[in-house]
Amino acid sequence: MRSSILITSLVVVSLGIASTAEANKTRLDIVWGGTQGTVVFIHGKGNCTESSLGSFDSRCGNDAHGYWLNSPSDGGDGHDFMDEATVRVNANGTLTTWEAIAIRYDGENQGFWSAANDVAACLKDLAAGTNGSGCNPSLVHRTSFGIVVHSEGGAIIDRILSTGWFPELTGPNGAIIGSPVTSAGALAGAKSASALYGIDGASNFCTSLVSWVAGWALKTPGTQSLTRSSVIGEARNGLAGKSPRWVLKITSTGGSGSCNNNFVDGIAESVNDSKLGLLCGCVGFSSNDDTDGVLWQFDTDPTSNPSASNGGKLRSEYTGYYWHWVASFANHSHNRNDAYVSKYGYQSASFCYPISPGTCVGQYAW
Amino acid sequence: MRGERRFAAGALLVLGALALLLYLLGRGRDDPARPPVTALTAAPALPPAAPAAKADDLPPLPSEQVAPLVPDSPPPVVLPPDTQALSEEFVPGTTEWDEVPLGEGRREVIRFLAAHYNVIAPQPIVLYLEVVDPATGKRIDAALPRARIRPFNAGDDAWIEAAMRDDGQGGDEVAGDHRYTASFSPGGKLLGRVLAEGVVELAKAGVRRVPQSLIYTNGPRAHLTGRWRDEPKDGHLYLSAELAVEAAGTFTMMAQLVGPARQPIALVRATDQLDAGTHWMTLRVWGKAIRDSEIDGPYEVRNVLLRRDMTERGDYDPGPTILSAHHTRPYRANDFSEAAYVEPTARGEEIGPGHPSQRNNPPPLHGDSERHSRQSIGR
Repeated sequence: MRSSILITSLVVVSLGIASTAEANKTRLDIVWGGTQGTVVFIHGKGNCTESSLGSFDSRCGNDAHGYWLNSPSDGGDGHDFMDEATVRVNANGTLTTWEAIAIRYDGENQGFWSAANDVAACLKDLAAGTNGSGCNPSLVHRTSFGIVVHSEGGAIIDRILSTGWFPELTGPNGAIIGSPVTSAGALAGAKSASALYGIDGASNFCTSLVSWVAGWALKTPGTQSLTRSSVIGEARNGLAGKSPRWVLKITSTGGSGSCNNNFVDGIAESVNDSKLGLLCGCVGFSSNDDTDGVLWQFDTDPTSNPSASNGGKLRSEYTGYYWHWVASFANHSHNRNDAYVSKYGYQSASFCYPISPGTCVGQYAW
Repeated sequence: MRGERRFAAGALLVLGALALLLYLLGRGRDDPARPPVTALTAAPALPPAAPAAKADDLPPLPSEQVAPLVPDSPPPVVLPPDTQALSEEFVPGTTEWDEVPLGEGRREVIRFLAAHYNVIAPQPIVLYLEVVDPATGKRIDAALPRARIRPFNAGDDAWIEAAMRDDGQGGDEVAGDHRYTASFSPGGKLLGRVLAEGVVELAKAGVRRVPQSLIYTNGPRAHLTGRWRDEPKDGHLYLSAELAVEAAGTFTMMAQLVGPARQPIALVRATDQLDAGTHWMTLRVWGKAIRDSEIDGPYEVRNVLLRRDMTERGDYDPGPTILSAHHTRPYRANDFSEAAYVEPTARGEEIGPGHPSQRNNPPPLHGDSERHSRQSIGR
């Protein structure tokens, strides 16, 4: 759903890439109510707020949880990451729920560093009950909240944590509490942003994928900022990879079957899944460079516990706290997908199966 | 002999199973935040291939409670935000090769690199490109590649282009080594974030473009004078550097502490607001980081970066990286405290969705009855 949102929208809207350094719009919405606290969700690369700028995606732009919904209209099965991340079944069959708030931003028409500032400004408004950024006209006020992110949202929350520029959020007694959960977070950039950058000029490169991967081949500032060299450069300058608290990472499993789920289970988004497999073959896969189709695990998986099962790569620039937490079979197109609901995602009366991206992870962000 | 091995292997298996059982039970007891474990089953194996699932295909829940596959929790954080453990040195102001396949089915890769990620005008922007056969590690002829640069947020009409050279001149280090070099001196019109492209056009491969980005600035308008001092205090090591500040601003200094044989110990940083003039800026190395390293001094302060931070727009102007900045006195690791950092907690009133002040919040976009999980869980 997530990747297909950005891919499809970017195919349709391939012109009019904005050149702007000013703050772009952000939006804040309470999607699900809950009694146990608040979890804020930050989506991945996509323009979900700026309808007047290029690459606007109406599916997330017009629906606060559109990014997180595995929409049937998009080949999915209707499962909702935000819902399942904020529910736990109790022994008596009742549900314990967390409030789910969506922050939407423009991840296409600006570099991730600017998007991070926009998101941080919105989070500060949420923490203070203000509307300085314009995202919070209802003055929703939450003095503490957990964080769950996907894809580019990983680069954004890492910058917010690493820079120390937002003590109201990340300092002692800051509003962000617990350990942020990153599902397929682009903590060290996306190799696809580099590998597919020049695809429009290649006469015989990934030709079968040109339309499908156009979201990454498009030269938007968002894509350009997520190249590996950009994110590593920022990390070496101290603005990434320095999280002072644990970031819990949900990564791909790695290995030759990790490009997609074809070797694991049948899935509804089988078209996307097959193409993610092709993508791996097209841009180069090696056993030391495991991928989930868009992010390359060893590039995107700087971790403080590299010896963990399917452990990632210890990158010297990532001196902060990054925990290789859950290895998932989910690929990047349908990071929350039916295959995982049916196999691993269900909940019993007393616990969650956190191996499924989405299932209950909101409570682990606390 | 073979029988002994079998016996030993069997004993190890039994011990391993017991250890796993004890570990799982112990973990359930020790971590009150985790849901209770009431019985044990093996972790799910890879599921077999199956037809595409639909929402209605959700399996029935197990009739008995089974063990959740709870991932390991990270250990407690023991260092403050200004001190982080360093596993190996890294050099601020640099980045790494961006590497892409030359073409579909081709094993050669194109590599493109900015010599410096932080470029301070009027220093030139230098870019390297090479095509490498990973099987041999050798560079091959890239047939006169090109490079171009433009402001990060500008359009295609802003490109500045140049041929890359391999003649040992114009910034190219070695003639004929198939590492191609382009050098740009764009001046003030390019200040800010810069996008660079390496462009290769080879027969049968078409045109391939590889991106890089870098920061081209006038620097932080402040610099380290070279005067340092160090002192132990309260169980920690304090490192102070003298700064000459040309214009007031917010500055962050980052440095790496290593041992006498360059053993990595810690990354430290500090942020201060400083007026124009001469100031001392102090870095604190949390004592436990040194104590746990068991490395005695004298320590070396390396890879120091000073930045001017523009937090309001989320950007910064970095200065040059100072590879070796200071050597401390010969402290011993045991001179420093082993105390873990404890984050201060003094939270004020908690305001959540149930707080009286939030009665006028807009209702959730979706009611609880619409939760898909409510419909599917527990069936």
